[in-house]
Formats: sequence, C-alpha cells, structure tokens
Amino acid sequence: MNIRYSLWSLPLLLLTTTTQLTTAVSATEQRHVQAEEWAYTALRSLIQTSQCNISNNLQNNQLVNRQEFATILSTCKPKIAQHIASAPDNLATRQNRARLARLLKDFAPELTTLAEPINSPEPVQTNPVPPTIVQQSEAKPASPVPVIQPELPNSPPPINLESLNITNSPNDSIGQVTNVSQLQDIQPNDWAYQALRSLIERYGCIAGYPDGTFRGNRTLTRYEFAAALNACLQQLEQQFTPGTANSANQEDLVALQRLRQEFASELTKLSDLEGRVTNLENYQVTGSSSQYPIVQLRGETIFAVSDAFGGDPPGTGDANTTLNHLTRLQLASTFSGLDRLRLTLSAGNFEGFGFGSPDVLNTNTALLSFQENTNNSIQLSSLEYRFPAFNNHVVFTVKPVGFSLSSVLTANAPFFDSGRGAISRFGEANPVFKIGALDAGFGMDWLLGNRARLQLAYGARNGDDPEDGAILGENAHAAGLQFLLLPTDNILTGVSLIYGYSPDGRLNTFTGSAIADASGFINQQSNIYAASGTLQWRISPQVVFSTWGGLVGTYASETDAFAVNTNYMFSLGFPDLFQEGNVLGVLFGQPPKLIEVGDFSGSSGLSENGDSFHVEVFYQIKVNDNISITPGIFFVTNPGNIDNNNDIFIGTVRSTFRF
Amino acid sequence: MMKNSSKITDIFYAQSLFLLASACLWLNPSLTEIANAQDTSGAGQVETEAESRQRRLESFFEQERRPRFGAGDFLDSAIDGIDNAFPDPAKVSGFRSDPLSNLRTTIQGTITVESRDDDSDNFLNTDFDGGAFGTLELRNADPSSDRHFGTVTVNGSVTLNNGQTLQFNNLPANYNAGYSSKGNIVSGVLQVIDPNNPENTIFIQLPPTQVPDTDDNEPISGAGTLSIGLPTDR
Repeated sequence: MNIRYSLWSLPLLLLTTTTQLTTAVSATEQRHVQAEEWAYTALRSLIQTSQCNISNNLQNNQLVNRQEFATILSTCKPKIAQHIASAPDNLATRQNRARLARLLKDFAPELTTLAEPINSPEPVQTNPVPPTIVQQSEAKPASPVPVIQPELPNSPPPINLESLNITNSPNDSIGQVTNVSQLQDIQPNDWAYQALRSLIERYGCIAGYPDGTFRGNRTLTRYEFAAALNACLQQLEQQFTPGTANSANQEDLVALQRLRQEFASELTKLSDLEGRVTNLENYQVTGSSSQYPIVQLRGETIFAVSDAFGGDPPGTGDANTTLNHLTRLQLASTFSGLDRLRLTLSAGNFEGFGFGSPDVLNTNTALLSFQENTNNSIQLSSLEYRFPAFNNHVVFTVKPVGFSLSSVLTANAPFFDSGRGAISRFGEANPVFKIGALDAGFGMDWLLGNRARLQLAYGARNGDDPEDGAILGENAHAAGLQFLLLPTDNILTGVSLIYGYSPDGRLNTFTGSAIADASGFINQQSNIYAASGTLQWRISPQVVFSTWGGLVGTYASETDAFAVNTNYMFSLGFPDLFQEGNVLGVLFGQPPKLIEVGDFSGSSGLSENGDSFHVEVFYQIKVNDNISITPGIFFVTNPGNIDNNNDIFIGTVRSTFRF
Repeated sequence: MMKNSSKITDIFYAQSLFLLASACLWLNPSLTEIANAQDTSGAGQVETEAESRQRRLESFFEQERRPRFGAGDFLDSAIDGIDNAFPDPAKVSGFRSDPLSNLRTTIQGTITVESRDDDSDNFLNTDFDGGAFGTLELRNADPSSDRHFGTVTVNGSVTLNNGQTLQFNNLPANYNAGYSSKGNIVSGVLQVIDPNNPENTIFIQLPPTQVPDTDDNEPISGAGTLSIGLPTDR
C-alpha cells in the first residue's frame, strides 16, 4: 500500500511541477499582458499614483494585448512623468521612475507604432549602471527626471561595476551631474576631487545619481572613481583633436595624465572588463558560438597557523602550534554562457581530526571551517553542472561529487566561506544543511520573481554504488525544501524543511556534541526530520545581523527510539571596518544539543547533562584583491554539552590566497 | 519488512509535503504577488534583459566566497552558486562520529539485562558474556534524578586488542544509558565511564532485538557488542 502511494506521489509531484513550469513558460511567451505580470501591476500602480483619468482595462484586471497596453502607457505617460517630476525625490519616486523607464523600454516596439513618439521632452533614464558617458552635445543641467542614454548600436557596453565588487544598489538611477559639489560622497579635500570637478564642470562628462551621489552616502571607492574617470577619458578623447573649439587645454591634459597614473590599476581592470563585455556583447549580437566553451582556472589556497588550549577534559588539552593548508583548484566551463560545469580538486594536510583528535581536544566542536585531511593527496572534491531552463526561471544542479544540501539550498549565512568567513565549522552555517555527509545529488532552484525562491535538493551518500543507489538507497540520503524570501532590500529570510534517512541514526554534521550528532547513538535505521529558519538583516551598510535556528528529530524505524536536538546562532558582521574590504565577525550560539521533549529525555539513547555555547571573533584583513589575512579565535564552553568539561580555545591566523 | 514500510510511509509524507507546498505556491498566486509587491527597489525592473545577461556572463566564475549581503541577483546566485559553499570536507577527510575514540577493543557477545524498571533493585543489572574475550557484570545501579544517568559497580575482565587484560574489580563508575522498544523489539545503549580512567570507558550496544513477551522486570538477552575506549567529548 505504501509503495503504491509512494509510486503514485512521485510522478504526481513531477507532473504538477512540470505542468506549472510549462504553464509559466507559455504564459511569458504570449503576446498579451496579464494581470499578474509585473508590467501590468506596475502600470496600474503608476496610473493610480499619477491619477491619470482614463478608462482602461487594467482597473478590472482584464487581459490586454501588448498594443492596447502600450496605448494606455502612451496616453498616461505625460501625466506619470509630470507626477514623478513634481514628487519628492524619495525611494517611492525613484521606484516609480524606474518602473516607467522599464515600461518604456519593454514596450518600445509597440510605442513606436503609436502616433506619439516615446522620446518625450522628459525622457527617463533606464541604465542603472553608473557612471555612463554623456555626449557633450547632450549635456544639460541636472533634472529631477533622469536623462535617457541613447542605446547606440556601436556604443561601448556599460561598465559592470558589480563584478568589481562595487555594490551599488541597482535601484539607483542616474542623472547627469554638471557640478561636482553635487557628488556628495567625494571628499572635497582630495586632489582627485579637484581634478574631477574640473573635468565635470568643463566637459560635463560624468553622470551621477539624481540625489547627487554616486551611491547613497558612502565614500566613493577607487573603482567607482576610476569608472567615472574612465568615462571622462573616453569623452575627452573625442575632444582632444587639435584645432577644434572644444579641445581640452593643457592643464586638463596634465590633470588627466596624473589621474590616469594614480588610477592606472583600476583603469586597467576596467579596460579588461570592457573588453570582456564587448566580446560577450559581440557574441550576443552575432550569435557566434566560436567563443564557447570558455574554460578558466581559478583557485584558493589557505595557509593557517593555529593553536588550541583548554580542555583536559575533553581530550588531553595538549595542543601544539600547527601550520596547515587547504588548496583548491577549480576549472569552470561554460558552453552557452548561462551554464556552468565546475570541477574542483582539493588537497589539505590537517592530520586526522585536527584539534578535535582524541589526543588533543577530542571533540567535534574544535573543528575549523577550512580543515580538510587528504594527507596532501589531490582529490576530486566537487563536480557539478548547473543550467537554467524554463526561460531562466529554474536552475537545475546535478552534482555527482561533493554534494551537500547547501549545494542548492542557500544557507543564508554571512560567514559561510571557509576562506574568508567563519573560522569554526559550526560558525559557517546552520548544521542542518550538513546533514547526511552526502556526496552525490541534484536539485533545482525555482526563481519566483525578484523576491522569492523555492529550492529543492536531494542527495545520497553512496550514490555511486550500484548496490546502494542514488535514489532512496540503503545508505544515508536526504532531501530538502527551502523557501527564500527577500521582503526588503536589507532582509533575507529562509525557511527549510529537510527529510533524511540514516542507516544508523547519525546526522554526521560534525558540528556539536558527538551524542547529539549521533542521535544518542541509538544506532538504528532512522528517519530524520529537520526544520531550519535563517535571517540576515543589513541594519546599515556597516552592520549586518544574522541568525539561524535548527530543530532536528531522529526517529528509529524499528523501535520507539528517538532523539531531538536544536542549535542556534546569532552574529554581527561589520563590513569595511577600519578599511574597505575588511570584515569583523562576532558570533554567539549553541552547537547541536539534545533537548527535552515533554516529559521525556531528549533521547532514547545516550543523553546530555550540560549546555555548551560557542563564541567566536575574527577579523578579516584585506591585503589586496587576492590576499586576505584573518586572525580569529573561538571558544566553546562545556564541549559536548558535558558539565564537567573545561572550556576549549582555538585560535588561528588564516591567510587566504585567491587567484 | 516493518522497518521498510515505516521508512516508505515517511518518504510518502515527505513527498506529499513537497507536493502540497508546490501546489500551494502555484495555486495561490497572491503569495508571489505579495513577494513582488514588497519590491520597493525596482531592482530587477530597471535592468534590461541584455544588461542582465551581461551581468550574468560577467559573474561567470564562482563567486560564492565573495563576502556580500543577501542573494544578489537570484539567477546569478543560482547559476554561480554565490550562496553555496565549497563542498563539505567531511567526507573527503573521512570524518566519523563514533561513540568511542582510541578504540581499545570491540567484542561480540551476549547481553543480559535483568530489569529495565528503574524502580527495581535489579535496575540495569547487566551481564555481558564475550566468551574468551571477557565477561562483565554491572550491578547496584543508582540512578540520579534523570534516570539516564547514575552510578553502577563494574566487575569482570576484558582482553584488549594489544593482548592485555583489563580488570574491573568492584569499580564504581558513572553510567549514561538509554533503552527503547516497540512491541517485542528492544534496543539499548549503555556507556559506563570510570571517572579516573575515561579511556577505559565501556560502551555496550544492544541492537534492535526481538524478545519474547516480557515485562520490564523480566530479564532479556540478545546479541550485542562491548567496546572499550575513550568517549568522544571526554
């Protein structure tokens, strides 16, 4: 009976999902605008906001074709633009401005067929990437309504600042700046500021944001500055023709030369970047596949000097200073530009269990995040292929090697990074994402618009063994479902449910006490049910709060044995503290611990009688784009949740090289 | 058969849960509308498809280790694994979660427990018969307020892997024990720690074993294992 139900439910699940996805795809291909589409909702909102009094079908959620939609848009556009121009320049106005810009762009073909041209006297900026080149002839005083940058077929592609780690909010739109004093976040006492002001005021060659800043109230980074300078250089190159009325004077040439030297490094990267973008743009225009596949090698090497003390018990407490490494090389390939084939080789030399070894501290809670023991032999640690489908609404992952639930389920933890994040294994992310010590698996990431994601993952520990099997085999396997929501730009939340099967009841997360991690050593085939909640909250650009909590229940299938454990973590991150690129992390939490359930003990196996807490502090110092050094320390009270145990302390200086 | 059907039932429930969640998310479009309605940024709205494509291509390489807030562009995140970490080194490193480390011996034998009733004088009186490799007796269990813990007296001897014989002569020790059953199937685990020599900790495991209908005060026997070593976290 149960087998029949199982066989019935699996194809039904696939059928339902596939049908929904197919429907989603077909809906997007229709030449109608439907009520649930973004454009429909956006225009209806703009009409209401601007009080454009026309009779239209949008108010009744009726289906309209694109031409009808464009007609409504064209009719109300002047009213909407007027409303935007007269409204205070706040977030809502900027959002409305962005909506209008997007609508005008998306429906440009239909709008051109209408009597009224789309280029109204008050065009709207549509390019979110700052800064852009403004033609001298088009330079105008700053306007509350941004300026459209014409999309010339041969114009250079926009500079991708995000890939340079410039995290401008994409909702900022750009307006032309003709006086550098409007760029509030450039320091006036900087000589470069003076030079930039001269260039802007003389040549009007830089576009900023309507609020007069490059990015909120943040100090302009060198890359941002270089991007602006690059834009000016390109603009001025056209004016440096001797004998022309607009040719630059000698002082400007000198200033330019000095700026060019000062920001040579950044300009080089920008140039490289532009070249790459241009190449890729060419591919998109021509459809040529001659550039694919693209294969590149990247890597990361971690050197760490570490030591530990305390304990005795647990362990002997006799630790010596160690020098360890973890080296990873990754080959990344793409065959279409949107798919990824990655192969990762790794080698590490943490002997045995490291500081968690029986003769040292004898506990999982002493493990470091970057601790890997391959005895310096190179191992294939990860092999995966990711590709989007269904009009890029779903990304599928197939990973025969190195799979864990967090390969697909976003851990939503700011320090989930063995090279640059937390120094402890527990501090990385919620241990529920490590359940099963899996190896092979697959999953899908369903992108539900810009604010929500639904993720599904399934993996098995011995998926490569024909006697076991990857699908519901006899060895450990686990499946997870996670819903991620970005309710505001500064908050990301996740809720996940996990089901797992373990042949011996062990979770194998290696993060907390051995008893909790082995479900009290009930040592039976067991079903595992886990729930997890995660939250990241960017309180300000300089402070990020995050927390997670996990609840795991293990229930034996042959007897009524069970074990329930919980874990939680709170952390604060301080990005760019003292220097851009640096991060201070402070973490406090409780590693997995068996809990009481009603009147019962937390386990039908072995139990625990204490509370263990984890405290961690690290400070990542960015030496340059490729090297960072992270001193850090963490200590654990009552390791293993055993009252009689002494606190343990583990410190490390981790140097991370990325190339 | 019983264990398989229980597992399959749970799998069925898990699949049903996924099915329900999937169906609910689709059949209730207001949920995604709510998600999008809260989009006050217009983050993905001002970006054209071409620009989005360019950015995706620019983020070709895995950027998972780049410190950043949130998920960034969702498609970038999903394709490039921005939020996914490198593979867990646990399996590559051969991490194991064992009750005892520095294992000194493991013996197969027969376990007999006189009573599982913690109100009985015979509570946890346990014999382990490992034949030529040793025998052990646990007597005089004295549970604490949490019956999982208490003290017990150990007698007997066990031959270790190195050929030495470990003697227990009326040794007072701390125990941590658990027991479960379902119908006539019982299982149990018992850890006995000599506080002065934790490396001589006794770990007795009774796997799920079918026994005749008995109450808690009747002795039960079954095949099990006895190990000696240092408990993890000690």
